Amino acid sequence: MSTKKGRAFRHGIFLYSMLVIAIVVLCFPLYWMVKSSLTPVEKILTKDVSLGIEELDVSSYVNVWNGTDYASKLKMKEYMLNSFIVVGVSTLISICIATLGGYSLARFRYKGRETLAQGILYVYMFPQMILTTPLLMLVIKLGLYNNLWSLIIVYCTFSLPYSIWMMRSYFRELPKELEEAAMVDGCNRLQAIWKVMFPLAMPGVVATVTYSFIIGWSNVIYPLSFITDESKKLVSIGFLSLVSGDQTPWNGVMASAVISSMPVVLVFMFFQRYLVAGLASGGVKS
Amino acid sequence: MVAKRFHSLEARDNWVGYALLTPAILIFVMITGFPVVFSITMSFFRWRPTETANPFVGFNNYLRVFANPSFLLSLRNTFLYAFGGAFFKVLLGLGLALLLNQKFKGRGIARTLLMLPWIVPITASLTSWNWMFDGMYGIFNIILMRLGIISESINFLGQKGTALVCVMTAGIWLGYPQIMVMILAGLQAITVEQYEAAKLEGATPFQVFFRITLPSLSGVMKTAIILSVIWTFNAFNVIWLLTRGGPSNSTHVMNTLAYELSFVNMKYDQGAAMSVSILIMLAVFLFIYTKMQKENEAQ
Repeated sequence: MSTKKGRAFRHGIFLYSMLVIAIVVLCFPLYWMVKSSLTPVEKILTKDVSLGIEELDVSSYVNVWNGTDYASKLKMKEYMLNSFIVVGVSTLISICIATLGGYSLARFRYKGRETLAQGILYVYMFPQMILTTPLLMLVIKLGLYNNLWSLIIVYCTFSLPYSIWMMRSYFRELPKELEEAAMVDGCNRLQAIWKVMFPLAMPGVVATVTYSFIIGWSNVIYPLSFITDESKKLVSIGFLSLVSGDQTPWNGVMASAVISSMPVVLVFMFFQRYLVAGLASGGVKS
Repeated sequence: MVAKRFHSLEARDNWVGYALLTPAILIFVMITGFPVVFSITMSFFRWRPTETANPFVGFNNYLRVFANPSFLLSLRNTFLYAFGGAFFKVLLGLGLALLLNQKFKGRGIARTLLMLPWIVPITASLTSWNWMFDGMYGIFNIILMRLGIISESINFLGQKGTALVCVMTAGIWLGYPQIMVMILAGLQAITVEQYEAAKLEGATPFQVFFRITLPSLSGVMKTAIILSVIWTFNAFNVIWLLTRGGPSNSTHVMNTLAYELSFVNMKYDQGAAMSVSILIMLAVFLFIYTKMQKENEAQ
């Protein structure tokens, strides 16, 4: 009995030490980001550093947020607002379209349904590179260059394919009888979707919205290609202008990086149990 | 009579089905279908943003791209990056999933922390890697110097020998969490009975791992590997944000080369030829993926 207990104890020690090593190594880049952001500017470009956090200097955050001192070119407040507008609106549009599309693919038996579903999955694996030049030309033609609407429209597409698949699998698991009962009670189909199915599929909706929000917030290539106006930039790329060779104020860059990460990290913390179930079912984010 | 009425209702119903899917299809046609057709068209014409005439040139753009000295290098890097990256991501993802599949206190926190590389926006985490790799004051240089392993700072991202390794390391770090989550879900699908039966037969933990755990995971692992290859094949961000394909084009992958041709050199036509080539190669992987999905469904 004691040997069994001893073995379990050793097993536990081994497990925890492996985990601690893994977490320390793999979270180090993020730890270093936070640590550097809290280092005063005069101590950042030096070889005399320690691995621990010695000071809690928040002046970098104040500087990049207000665009003062070395960060005078930066407009973090505007970048954040722009990102919230673009990601918020496109996520909203995307969830509406994905709910209708997912419901359609889950409930109807029309011709070409499987082919369409498969086609949508391919869209989600498409290289964005092949789309970027034609979309840029289209954006310029429509007069939407340096306009947030260009990003809102494009952002709808790259989260849409997976969102449709996610919603489809949720609708498939809901019994048909529920909406049939609603329709017998006098709802039309759209009302049945909105009043009965949508609330029941809430976990799926939350997972889909979380997913769209995270991948939208992180996108690089479209804001890089469609926006040059400083006041229209998104937070995902706006602060990169602070990176400039040997004299980069890394404390400010890292503070901006932390600020830009906060919304997605918080959203993930709140909704991760919904998201992880969806993620596990196979394949997300390109 | 009843049957006929039912039939017509179903037909009307199908019409609703199409209608509900229409917004999605419209968006895909506009933002994916049109650009793809347009890119394919552009790749056969001379098409520069600075010129108004667009004469037909046949396969000329493709020939130009294939003759580009960076092309073969970018091809090699893409495969190295996609397959090498997939190998390490699966290795790391499997190891961490096995750890997280044990029952212990703080499992939820551990999982959240290990997923952070996927959650944190890519520009934020990559600027941190950029800073850590810094040629003067980067923490890697400082640690290696203090340990006495190197005597002079290394410009990790600025020299040929190290840049590709650095880019791949950052790519693996960004990509392992998805693989980990997928494998974890696969592990949780293995029933307790399967393990109990093996234990009753007197199997050692190693035998249990190789006879039960790994075989049960084979479907998930195959999917994880091919998805990882597809995602990495589409990689642009990591390379562009860390090295822009440099130093002297040594870290270019096909996507960054296509972007450079289009938006730095302003040769839309050659950039299009490059992206169409990527699409054709990707189609092979998508074909394999579809086949595997069908096999998994059949099982």
